[in-house]
Amino acid sequence: MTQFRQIAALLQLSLSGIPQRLGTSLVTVIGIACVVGVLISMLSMGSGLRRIAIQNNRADRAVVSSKGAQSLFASNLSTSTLAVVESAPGIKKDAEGKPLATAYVAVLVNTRRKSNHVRSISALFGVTTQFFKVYPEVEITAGRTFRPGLHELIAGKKRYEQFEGLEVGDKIRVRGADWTVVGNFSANGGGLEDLLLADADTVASAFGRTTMQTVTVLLDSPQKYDEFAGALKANPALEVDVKHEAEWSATITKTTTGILDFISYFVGTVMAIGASLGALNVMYSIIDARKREIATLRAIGFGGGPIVVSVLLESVLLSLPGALLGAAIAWAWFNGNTVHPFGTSIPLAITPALVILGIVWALVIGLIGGILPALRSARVSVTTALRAT
Amino acid sequence: MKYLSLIWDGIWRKRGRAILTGLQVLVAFVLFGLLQGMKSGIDDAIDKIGADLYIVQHATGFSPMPLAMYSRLVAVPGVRAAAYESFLAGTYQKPTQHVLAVACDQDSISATIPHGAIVPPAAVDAMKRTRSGVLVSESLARKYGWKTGDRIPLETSVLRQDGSLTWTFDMVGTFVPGEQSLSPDFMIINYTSFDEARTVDRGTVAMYYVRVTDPKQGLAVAQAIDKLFLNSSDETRTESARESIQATLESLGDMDFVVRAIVGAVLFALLFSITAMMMQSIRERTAELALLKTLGFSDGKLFWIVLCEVLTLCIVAAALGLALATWVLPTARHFTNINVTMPASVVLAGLGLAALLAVVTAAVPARRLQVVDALAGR
Amino acid sequence: MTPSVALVGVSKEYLRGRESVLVLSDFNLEIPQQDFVAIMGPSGSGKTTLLNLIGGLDKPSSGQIYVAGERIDTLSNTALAHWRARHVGFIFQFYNLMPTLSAARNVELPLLLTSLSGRERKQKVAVALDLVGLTDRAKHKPGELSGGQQQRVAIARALIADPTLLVCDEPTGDLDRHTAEEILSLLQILNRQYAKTVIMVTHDPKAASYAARQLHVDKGQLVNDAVAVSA
Repeated sequence: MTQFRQIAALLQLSLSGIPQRLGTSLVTVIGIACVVGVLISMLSMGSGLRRIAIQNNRADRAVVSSKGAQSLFASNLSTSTLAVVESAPGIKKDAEGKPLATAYVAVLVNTRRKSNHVRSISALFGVTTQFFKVYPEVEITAGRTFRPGLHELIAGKKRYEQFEGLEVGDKIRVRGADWTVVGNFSANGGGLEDLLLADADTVASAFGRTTMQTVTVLLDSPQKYDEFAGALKANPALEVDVKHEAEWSATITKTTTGILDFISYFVGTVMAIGASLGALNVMYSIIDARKREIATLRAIGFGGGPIVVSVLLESVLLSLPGALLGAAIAWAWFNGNTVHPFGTSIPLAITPALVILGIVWALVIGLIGGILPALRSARVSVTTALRAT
Repeated sequence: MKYLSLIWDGIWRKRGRAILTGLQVLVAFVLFGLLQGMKSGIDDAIDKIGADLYIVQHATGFSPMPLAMYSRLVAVPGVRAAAYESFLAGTYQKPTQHVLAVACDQDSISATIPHGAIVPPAAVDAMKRTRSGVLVSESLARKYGWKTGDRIPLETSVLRQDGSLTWTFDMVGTFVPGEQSLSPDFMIINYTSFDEARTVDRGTVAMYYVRVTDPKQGLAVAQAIDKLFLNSSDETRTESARESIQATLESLGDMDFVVRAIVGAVLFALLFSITAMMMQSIRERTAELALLKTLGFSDGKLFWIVLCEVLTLCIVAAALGLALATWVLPTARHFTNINVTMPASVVLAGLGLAALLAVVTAAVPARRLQVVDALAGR
Repeated sequence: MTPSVALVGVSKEYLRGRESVLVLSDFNLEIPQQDFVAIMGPSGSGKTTLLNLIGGLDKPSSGQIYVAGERIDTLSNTALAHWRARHVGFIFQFYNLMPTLSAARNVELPLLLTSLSGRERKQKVAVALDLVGLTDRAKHKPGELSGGQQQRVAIARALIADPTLLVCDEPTGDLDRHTAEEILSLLQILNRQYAKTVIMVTHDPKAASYAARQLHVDKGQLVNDAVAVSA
């Protein structure tokens, strides 16, 4: 057990010397703070997007798309396919006995961003009548919903907040005709809030579409999923994929979250390399300055092992304040802000999970920056360091 | 310079420290080079698009326009040449392998060359002879190993007259998209046969390209075009090609802010790191520097020597980092499908930043230099 | 009686650049228990190397070294560290105290390698500081102490684990005449009244006169073996 006591004593000794080495210690703290701050902030984009995607996912909702489609616009279902899906077993029925299934056709319209007036694309979904029953989380917050057959649409929260001309009463031009915004809606923070909604047939005829993109059904219960999916897959005439809503959300956000995460980790790694080099530099110079001290301790009889461990621990401990500082800055600057990469709106949240990830990165940097100097400290030639002159 | 040996000695006093600090600077400037290079590279690519190129689209966006508009467009005063395009987006073999086909009339495209595509006349002839012909850009052909004579099927969401969603083309040649083309991977098909075979949007085009004779008159010509079709069911919006691309890239979002924030954070941390290194270096050399003072070196000269040390280290390391970034940057095209090369301006800006960094970090230890007194041992 | 220290056929060579320098060659030496020996010689003579070998800070290139009957040249580095903690106390020219620790904590350092409790360690520290006469300076940091006081703290540290051997490398090299005499007297007391074997390297004949015996080393060889009459 004296090993632990040795390490503890050595650690206390080196930490007590920090006030004199404030400058170099600050370097490590700031370097790591920058890495952790940037990494956490960027990762919050990917995690924010993932959160929105699964926000309102329910275990009793399933999505049917055309076989192999990896995105909304790549999926095309014909009317006959839709009819077959709606008659499949396991779907909940409404009071009139009609299946709770809704399909949509997705098109793009031009809108203008409020912040810089630059022309930007918005997605308009033409949805069928059962839509609001399949997605009960959608609430009209202003005005009313659209009427079928008319050039009317409603705008989701994220759209009318960020883009011009989407308040109740405004008109936008779609395919040569004026469409009126008759209402605004919210959807409990989910991805639906980023859309404009209108009647399916009206949109389809305006854009000359003969197919719909996907169908979402509300099942009797989550347990009915296998029955529902099985029936569709067993049908040889259908070329479709059936997924849980959560699976489908993950599929369509995969590319974007993939890109966001890749960029975050790429930048984070490069910065971590820089910080590790910095930590290495600092630790080497610390060991250098304490050569005589270390040699004296070895002369007194402290073992090489405990010295190595204490140097390593010192480096790792030094990285902690940097991590917390970086997390604090990321939280102060970005928490609650909304960013718009790739046309989606993502509210950022610096979650405890992200902070922990940041701390782990910092510890790894501290470890990398400490290992080589720690091993060097064991190889300090006691006799040369203690030379009288 | 006669102080070169002093400066060199100062840098390499502690070899490990110099190398580590140099590597830090290098890594920081690789990041700077990549981020800023990406951003400026895209800006530059947009600038290369001729100022005389205008895009005519339906005013309400994403609606097709009648082909009949073409003859009226060409007749507008100030228009040198015009061309039209429709698009066919599909996948090849796997749902993840997206391919874009551009349907156009070969002659008018050659005259207008909106994509700056270099298409050999022989290939143009081959296209005219083969109705189902397709010209594939070199990089795309390489990607899938296509060769002239191959039949290329595309799975699309556009229904054909024969009821299928699959469009098959015969490859008749390749071409090299010019600098003006942002995207290096696409293929060219014949508009006429494409239009005849489809069931929707027949007789229409997705966009018109217009070359104006005088770029300075461009705005006036654009307005004239829009006025021509005002109050019809096919109102147009004509804007310069540059503006149009910028709007598309706008969806990339707040990249500007992100890039600046990251670069700022990195340089800030670097500032601290190098300053600390320099201060330590000077602390260790107190006796030497004191000796130089007794020999007659003024404060100014000593500052100059210290500055040169940091400057050399920073600039050499930064240059290496920027070189590495320049080498790596073109591989970004695999992710973004945009031709980007490192603009010279970014390299110069990087070197300038490195110099500034050096000056600032030298300034802090320099104040200590003035307090260096010629006493040994302390 | 077994000698405190015995060197048999010891040689030591170092690599200086690409050359190999023979610092000690075929050295033989016996130091009896409770001896106070001063090792003198010109710089480069190998006396510091000799001290390092005796103190277990270095290993010979060939030959054997015995301390208190135990052979130390074959011990592993870890075992040597343990051995040093128990058997040797070092005193250096520049004290080598930890600048960020108080005098008491500096003295306590070697005890951290033992299994003594906190209270036991505190007691021993008090005893050691009292022995060197620095009880009222226990809480001061080295920066607040004079050279002589720092050396006394170093001596207390060297004594605390009750080693048989005290190894001193120019202990008075950085002190004025008066303080040096105090330190050397202290060493004499430790030798005569506390039965410590003291081995001291010095270039100062006056300091050497405090020792019971003087050894002269030159070019890696023992020159003569004078017995001084102690003052």
